[in-house]
Parts: sequence; structure tokens; C-alpha cells
Amino acid sequence: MTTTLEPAPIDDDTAGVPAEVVRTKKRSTRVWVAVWVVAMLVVPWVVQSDLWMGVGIFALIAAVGALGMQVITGFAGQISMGHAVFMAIGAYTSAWLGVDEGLPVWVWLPAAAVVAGLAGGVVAPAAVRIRGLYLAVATLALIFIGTYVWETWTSLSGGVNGRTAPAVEINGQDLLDGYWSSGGEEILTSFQAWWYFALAVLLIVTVLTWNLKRSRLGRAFMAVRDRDIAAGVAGIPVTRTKVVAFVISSAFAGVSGALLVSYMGYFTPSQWTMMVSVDFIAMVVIGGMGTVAGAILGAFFIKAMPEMVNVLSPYLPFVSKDASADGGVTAPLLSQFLYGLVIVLVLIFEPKGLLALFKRPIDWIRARISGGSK
Amino acid sequence: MNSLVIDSLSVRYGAASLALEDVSLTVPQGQIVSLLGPNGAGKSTLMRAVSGLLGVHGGTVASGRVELLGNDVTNERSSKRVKLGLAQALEGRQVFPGLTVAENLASGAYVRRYRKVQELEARERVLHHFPRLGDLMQRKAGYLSGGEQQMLAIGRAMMSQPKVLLLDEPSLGLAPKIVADVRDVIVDINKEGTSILLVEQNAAMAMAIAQYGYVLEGGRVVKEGKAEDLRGDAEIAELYLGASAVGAAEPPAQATGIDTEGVIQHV
Repeated sequence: MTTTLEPAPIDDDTAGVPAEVVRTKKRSTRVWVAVWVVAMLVVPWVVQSDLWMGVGIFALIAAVGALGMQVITGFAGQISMGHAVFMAIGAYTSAWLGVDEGLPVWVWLPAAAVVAGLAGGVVAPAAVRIRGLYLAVATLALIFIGTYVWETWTSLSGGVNGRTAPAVEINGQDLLDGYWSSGGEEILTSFQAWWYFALAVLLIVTVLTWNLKRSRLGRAFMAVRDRDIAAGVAGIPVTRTKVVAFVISSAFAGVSGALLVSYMGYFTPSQWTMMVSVDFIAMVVIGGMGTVAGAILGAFFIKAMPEMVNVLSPYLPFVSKDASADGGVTAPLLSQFLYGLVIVLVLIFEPKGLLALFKRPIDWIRARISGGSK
Repeated sequence: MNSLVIDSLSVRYGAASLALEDVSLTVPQGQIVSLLGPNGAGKSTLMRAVSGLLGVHGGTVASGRVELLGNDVTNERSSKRVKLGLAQALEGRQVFPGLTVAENLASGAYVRRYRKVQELEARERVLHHFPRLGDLMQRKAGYLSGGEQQMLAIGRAMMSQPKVLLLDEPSLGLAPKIVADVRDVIVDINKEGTSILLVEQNAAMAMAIAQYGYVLEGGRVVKEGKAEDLRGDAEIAELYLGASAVGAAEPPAQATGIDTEGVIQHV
């Protein structure tokens, strides 16, 4: 067929539902978004564990990249393995401008988006002419080219030893040291400050993605995904639309990459591996293809699961806490098994992802309530 | 004024022999012109040449030209043709299954860049022809029935307010009652001034509503004439109006039933 992916799992939430109920659902979506935002604002004051705050910040940063993956894969239907490369481009752009040139965060962070987006625009015209698995393999090649470039371009990347990343400084204060009042009192801890910063970036990207999905361009992405011939007949320029999807996706990946290295403080050319890209694909598949909330949910799931297994491992039989010489099952190994298992289970039992899984009981209750009131 | 003129058009796919050879066809302003022909005659190729999708399928125009509303569009991109006033409902009801009915309709207006109010007006005009779609606005198109999808495909094409509409096998695989509905809508759309090029296996239906007809065989026009003349043509009657031709889409008995109805209503 003509599409590169199977048409996304059809979300039949509103099939045969009267307009009145659809409106109720829209209103309840707003309520859920408000609840989510408030919860995210409260988290840094409730969660006292350094471990989980760290995981949460990595998840927020990953969610930005997952939204980028959602744009190219979930909306436009193109499987791209190149996400790690565009993250790296964003990361090196931020390091160049933020460290080497000494520019502030409000320059290097948008610049990371622009440069990664442009890089996506350079690669895309070649990439969008091939489909499906061929596209996956071609973009996979980008990862190896990228790694070679970073390792060779030592003046930028520091070679195999890596280099420092720019710090996020607001009012001259490095957020990694927390945020202090002028009187020398700590207003936000390091974790709280970074949580809010990453959350702010994620919210901006989320709003952009949400609006994109409902815009003329977003509809064009999904039309190309579902039936590219029919999209062409409707006057949608198919190739150009795919290129734009690539650019937007790469720009989000660039932001995610810049944030990631900035939070880590230090990064190397060898960290931009294929597994980074695979993680992002897993996030949108597990979270829910083609949905904004699904990408964010998937990012939190993928980032939290290994730590969850690690924390639970003392209580699980046959799992050794540390790497052992006798080849027993370690927590990281178990978490890799679970990772694969979860993807398989999602594909078999809930192809619409975790988001649909969470929605199901809510819809069931709502159906009961509206059914009872009639 | 002619809405669509195809002048001595020849098309080939790769190095293969010509798929269309020296085909000329005219759709006069405000008329329904029907294109008949067996499978493999080149009907789809002709449609692709008009809509600008030959390249997607690896085809090229070897010679001749396609003129849309007075503009030579032989080598124009399809988006340009849509902007000029062409729209097409593809064979096989190619709706976007993952988009809602409302979103499907909105994507039909892609090139028009409507404001919200204009889009709603265009949608109202479409819903006037397909009131059923109004009840299904928030439903994913993949969940519609065959007849509803066909209506959506035509409705989506109508969203750009085309002056020329290409309809590729709109009755294919539909129940006789639905075929009659679709036929009536095509007539209504035409009455509002849209010129229509109709490719149909259901020749009786096509001939009942068209003013003029062409018969394509082996990539050439082998016969053309006014619809009433073609209806009276013994050879056409045997090849296309008999049970054998419509049998592909519908059971012969039912097909004959609906065909008669169509002819009686419109002759």
C-alpha cells in the first residue's frame, strides 16, 4: 500500500456518541489537563527522594523528544531512527553557543531547536522519498555517520573524552545549585529548580504540538500518514509535508538533547546510540500513537521503569542487587526483559497504548453516569 | 467554454508500451461526461493524467496536453490543479481512516486556506448534499460504512468548491439503494454548476446521468457520442449495459433492477 505505517490505531472514543457527550468529553479533557499541570507543579514539594526527582527531570526532558517523535511517527507516519542524531546536534549547538561562545540559555536553547530543525530539513528531502522499513534503515545510517562525525570533530565534541555542557543560568544563578534569594536564602533546591525549568519547556512544546495536531498542517500530516495518494489528490503537497514534519520533529529532538546534556553537565560522542532512538519510538508506541498525552506518558514510563525495577529488586526472588559473576539475573537485565515484554503486551492487548488503558475505566464510569441520568 | 480538455494525450509507464494513445476528450462547462471501458483500458491512467498523479505511479506524459479551465496543466503539480478548481474522489473511497469526518472534510479544503467561517460555510454546502455526514462529524472515518465513506470522499472533494470534479467509480461495491443515492447527489452537484468527469463500471447509471460519453479500450477512444446515442448503441448495450459488465460490482439480478430504475428516472 501507499502508507509507510499501518494507519494509526483508530481511536473510536467518539464513535456514535451524541454531540452533547462529545462536548462533555472536551470539557473533561480540560479538567484532566488542569489536574495534570497542578500535580506537576506540586510534585517537587511532595517528592523528597533525590532518586525520583532525578528520574522525573530526565522524564520531562525525554517527553520533549518524545513529542518530536510523535510528530514524525504518530502524526506523519514516518519511522525515523535518526532522533538520536538530531538530539546530538541540539546538544552540540548548545555546547558551542553556551560554553564556547558564552551565550545565555535563552539563546542556546532556541538555537538548538533551529540548528537541529535545519539539519532535519537537509536530511529530509532524501529521506522522505523512501518508505517504511527502508526509511528506518536509512535514518539508522545517520546514527553511525553522526557518531563518526562527533568522534572526529574533536574541537567541538572533545573527542572520546567528551566535553562540558552549558549550565542553565537564570539571573546569573546556575539552576544546578538551586535558586537563591538575594538575601542568600534557598528558594528552590537544585532538583526543584531544574524540575520547573524542564516542565516549563515541556509545557511550551506540548502546547505547540497540541495546536499543531489540530491545525491545517497537522491534518495534512495525518492525511499523508493515512493515505498519501488521497492527500495528494486533495492538493496536499506530500513530499513538502513530510519534510516539514521532519523539521519540526528534529527541532523538538534538538531541544531535548540540549536540555539533557545541560542537566548532565558533561557528555560524550558515544552516548548518541541507536538505543536512544529506539527508546523514543518505544515511548510513543507504549504511550499511545498519535496522541500528545501518550508521548508524555510513554516518556515517564520508559524513564521510570528501570528505576522501579531497581528499587523493587531486593523484594523480587532470583534478582541480585549487584552485578554478579555467576550470571544471575540483575536488576538492569530484568528491566530490559520487562521493556521488551511491555512493548509486546501493549501491541497485543492495547495497541492504542497506555493512554487508552487509563482512559478506559474513566470512560466506563462516565458511560455509567450518563446512562443512569437518562 | 470547456472545463477540461484532453488533447491527443499519450502516456507511458517506464519503458512499457503506451498506456494511453492519442486520447482526446472534452468536458464542456456544466456537463457530466462519462468514461466507460473495461479493466485495463486506461481509465485510471487518464484520471491520473488529469489530477497530476502520474508521477507518483511512475508514469509520464509522452505527448499531448491537458487543459483545465483554459490553463495548460500538463506538467503542473496536483496542488496547483486543485487550486485552479479541480477535485477528485478516488476509486475505492480513499478517506483518511484515522481522521474524524470533520477533519477529513477540512483536509479537502487544504489549498483554500479558509478562515473558520468560510470553512463552516463550505461544510454546510457539502452537508446539504450529504446530511447523513452531519450526524457523524466526530466519528473516525475508518468506522464509516462503505456508502458513508463514498459520500465522505465526494464531500471532501467538494470542500475546495471545485469547478471540475473527477469521480472514479463512485458506485463500486455499494448496495443498489446507496448507488441510487450517490447518483442523485452527483446530479445535484452538477446542477449547481460543477462539471463532472465520471468513470464508471456501472454503465447504465453513468449513461443515465451523463450528457456525453466516451468508450476507452486498449488505451484508445474507440467510441464517443451523446449519452442517448450510446444508450441505443447495440454494441455498448451488449458490452456494458448487460448483466456481465455490472456483475463485477453487484449481483446481476439486483444490478439490472437498479439500472432500469436509473434509466427510467432520467430518460
